[in-house]
Amino acid sequence: MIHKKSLVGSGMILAAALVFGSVAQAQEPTGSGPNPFRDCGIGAALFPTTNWAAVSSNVIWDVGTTAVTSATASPQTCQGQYVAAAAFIFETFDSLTEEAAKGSGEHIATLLNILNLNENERAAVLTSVRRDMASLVPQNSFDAMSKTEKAETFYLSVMGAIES
Amino acid sequence: MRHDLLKSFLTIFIYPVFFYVGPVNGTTLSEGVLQDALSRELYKHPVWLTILGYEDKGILSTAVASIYPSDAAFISDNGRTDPVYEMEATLNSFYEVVGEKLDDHPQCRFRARFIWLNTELKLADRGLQTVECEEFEQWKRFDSVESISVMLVGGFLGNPASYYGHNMLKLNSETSSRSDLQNESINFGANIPPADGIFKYIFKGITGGYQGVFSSADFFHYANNYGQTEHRDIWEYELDLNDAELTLMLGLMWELMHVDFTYYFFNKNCAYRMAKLFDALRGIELTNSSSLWYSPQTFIQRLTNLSGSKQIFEGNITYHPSRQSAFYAKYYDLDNLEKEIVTELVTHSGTFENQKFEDMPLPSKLRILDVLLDYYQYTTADGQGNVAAINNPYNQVLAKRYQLPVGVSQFSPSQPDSPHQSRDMSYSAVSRVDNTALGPVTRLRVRPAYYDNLDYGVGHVPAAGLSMVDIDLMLHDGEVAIRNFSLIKIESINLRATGLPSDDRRTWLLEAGVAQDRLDDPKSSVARIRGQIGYAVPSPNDRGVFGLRAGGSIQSRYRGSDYVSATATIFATYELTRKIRLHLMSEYREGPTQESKLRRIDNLAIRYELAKNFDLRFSYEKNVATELTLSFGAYW
Repeated sequence: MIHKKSLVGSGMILAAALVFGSVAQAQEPTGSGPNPFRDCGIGAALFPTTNWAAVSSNVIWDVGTTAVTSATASPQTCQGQYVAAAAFIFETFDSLTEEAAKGSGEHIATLLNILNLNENERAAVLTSVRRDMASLVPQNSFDAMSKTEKAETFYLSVMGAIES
Repeated sequence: MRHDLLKSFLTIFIYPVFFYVGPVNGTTLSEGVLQDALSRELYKHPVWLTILGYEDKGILSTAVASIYPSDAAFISDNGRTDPVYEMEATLNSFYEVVGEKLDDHPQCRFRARFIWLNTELKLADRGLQTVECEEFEQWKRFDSVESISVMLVGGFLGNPASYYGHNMLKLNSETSSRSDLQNESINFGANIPPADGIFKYIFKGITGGYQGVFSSADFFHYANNYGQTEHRDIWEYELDLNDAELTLMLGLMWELMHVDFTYYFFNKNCAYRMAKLFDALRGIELTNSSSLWYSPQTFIQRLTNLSGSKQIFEGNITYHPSRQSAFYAKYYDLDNLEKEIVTELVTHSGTFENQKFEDMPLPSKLRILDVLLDYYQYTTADGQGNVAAINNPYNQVLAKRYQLPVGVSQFSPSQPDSPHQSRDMSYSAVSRVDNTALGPVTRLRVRPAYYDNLDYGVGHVPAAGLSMVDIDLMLHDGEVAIRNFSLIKIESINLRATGLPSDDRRTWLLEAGVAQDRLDDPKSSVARIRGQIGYAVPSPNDRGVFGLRAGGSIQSRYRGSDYVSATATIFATYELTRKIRLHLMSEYREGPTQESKLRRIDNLAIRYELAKNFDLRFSYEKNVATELTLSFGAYW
């Protein structure tokens, strides 16, 4: 069950994008409106059915392009810090959730860098996300989620914390 | 490079007349600049040769040709074989009219050439209008890059392409708004179609069937894939370059990311291409284009051993442990009660309920939970870490962690020795043998890579073995015979295994090649593929391992042998001192028919390390006949 605050937060993001779309395109960073997991292929594209050699050290690993080419939204929409944050969350989800539980870590710091948050915002967002994850993780429904769904949940929690 | 008086005359006085120096973007290439470049023979300079990929055509030839397969890498039609024409065409191109997209201008596309030629010839001071290359500036994060690190990723037995490790570069930007995980990392690898199966992959990788390219991505992509998914340690060696060298290297990486290469697994691989970049600095030469193989470890060793004016490494090493290494380091730092609680929680993982855990002080609880998180990540089989499953024990541990206050657990620092301190990669040995059936025998062995259960070193798996094309010849009565030819041999042992579920002490062996079936007959060589699987436990003081394996082999036939046989082996490897190790083995071998009776093969081998790159070995082996062998070996 997704926390209400996260739903409200994600809804606010989407509503803002819909209402101010034309202005947003001219002035706001692209990619802040759509859900990167649903509209930009994050998760489905980053780890396709993997050939046994595909994650070897000698294979080109172009995560960004792979995600964008499988997007349902336009490439222009699937750019920007929010999509970058979503891609980072998906790739490093386990490290992020562990560091959120501990309250600090390099991956958490990196995520907050990507989102360009100041020190006060970082502390508030981390507190909020930790609270959300503390209630989500013990639930069977969270256990049953795929990695993409878990990452999306974490992303929505972060976005909700930023918006609040 | 051929250079005679006639060519000097032509290049200085005649060629400039025939090259277009017409009007471009308000400035033109002056004859003075061109003559300056030609008279100084900048087309012979190591930087120019490195940027354009020029290498000697052959051992006996003084001409050069570029190894870049694509015509797009050159401006002039003769660029691939004529560095002079390519330089002249390049200089002219810098004066081309600037179009709508600045990044398409040659000053931006051929950034390394521009940076170097501008420095050497002071082009900007001599009237050239410089172009703002926004894509290049954004890629290198403007002027934020302060250093470059060379990365060594440890070997990975899950993929043949990764057995010997991997090299990358990392561009270190020192800003408070970016973490190390966001630093740009440069990779070189083969572009492999997903549909290629393993045999096609191996064949094309060895024979140059794949395109090789440089690419870049944030460091976290690689740190996550190597460290979390493949469980490979990463060693970082930060270089000490001045600003001009840094700028040139950034331009070189940028330009080469737009160039295609041909990838060869053994010698024109990631290690070679990364090492070749440094030919642009200080007269450094870390490679030899005629080498049959070049490994990531060799690159690091040569780089860190540079001295004098060529020294670019000052000793700054950072160790990035894999999830597996982090788990073992933390687990073995637990006290006995903490270990006991970990074992109980793992073996009863239905729900997280353990009174002993609840009674522990907070610091111990944090340590135990940290170890459990690493344990479940390390032992999860899906390669992506997380698993979707009800009552997933990993999630139970994570949920428990969320219930406790924020805080970082404390463990004793642990860092293994760096692989750059290891011995050289290849091995040769000459042996004198006393054979009870044949008399005196001489043996000559060459092993291009990598290590065995006696000479494992830093960066290798202790008591294990990994070798390729290991050939051991015997000379007897004027005839040469194959004593052993191991195309590939992998002996996997995990001395650090905890014995927890899924981190068991399994050992396995796989070998393919040709071997002498019995010691009393030099002509008894058979082609053989063999495999075994079993169990190995560390000795109580962690200086050795004892194990038992069983399996079988398929081979060509020889008198007294069948096409197939079953085998069972007991073995022990022990480190008596830091310089003396021994390996003891008894193998029972039997085929299905009466022709192949049960045979027992015994072997005792002792190795003494004379110096980092030299050893003495003594062995006793009984296989029908008995051999006593004394050998002297050298690593290179």
